Amino acid sequence: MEQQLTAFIYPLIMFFILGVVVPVLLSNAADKAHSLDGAPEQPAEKSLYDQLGGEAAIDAAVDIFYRRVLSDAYVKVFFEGTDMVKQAAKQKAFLTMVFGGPNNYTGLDMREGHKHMVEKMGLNDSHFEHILAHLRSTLAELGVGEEKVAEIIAIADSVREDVLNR
Amino acid sequence: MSLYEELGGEAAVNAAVDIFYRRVLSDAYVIRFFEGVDMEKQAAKQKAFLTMVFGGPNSYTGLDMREGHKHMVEKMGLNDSHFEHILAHLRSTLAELGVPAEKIQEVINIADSVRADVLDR
Repeated sequence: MEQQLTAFIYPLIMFFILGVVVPVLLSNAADKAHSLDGAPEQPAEKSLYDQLGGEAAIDAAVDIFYRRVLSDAYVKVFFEGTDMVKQAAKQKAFLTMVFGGPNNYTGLDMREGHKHMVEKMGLNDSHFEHILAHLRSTLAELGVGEEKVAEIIAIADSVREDVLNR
Repeated sequence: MSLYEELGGEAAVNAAVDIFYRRVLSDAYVIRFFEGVDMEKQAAKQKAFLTMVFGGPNSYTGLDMREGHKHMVEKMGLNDSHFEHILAHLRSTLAELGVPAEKIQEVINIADSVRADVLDR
């Protein structure tokens, strides 16, 4: 009787170990090995600037952005008579800042640089909205997804008070 | 003189439709909302919209505007940022036509009054 039971139970235990336990252990081990020697599934958080493509992306963005701004009759007046070479450098610095890249942006510079436009030319929120719109259009043209666009716009919008001298 | 007459009436609307439409369709941020739409019907709608914001004779109803954009709000993520682009294209169009800033502001105020309908709020 006891022998019969043993003869029945041992094969059952072996079947369980070989059929269920070993495959589960092997598959866990395989997963572990995969995540160790393969690329990590969640790469270390890249900066927004690097995600967007760094300086090369900025250069592409400056071109599109500038072309858009200068073909907008509502805001073109603010760029008339400005030194275009200096202006291009400023645009690049601005875009590097909103892309989250290395920059030496100061609110005071932004405030001083736009003060005469606020006081003498009527620069206001509507013009600022146009600049944000051109930035969104530029990023969309470069294939940046809407969530990333929203992140960039939030950074750009953070300078509004400085630009409008409030 | 009504705002519509001051702006130049139907001739001004026609000029504006062309510029406005060209601007909207060269804006990568909003172009997806116009993909696959019937362009002739769309031109008629733009004309009706611009006539309305110019303060001209129109048969605008908030319900039409709400129904016409509902699927974009629900399925395509239409939101305030896209609406701001349309307002910006309208300002740019009017500036290109030589409309002074104060008149542009009047037109924008009318256009902005349809925001809640368009965004189904």
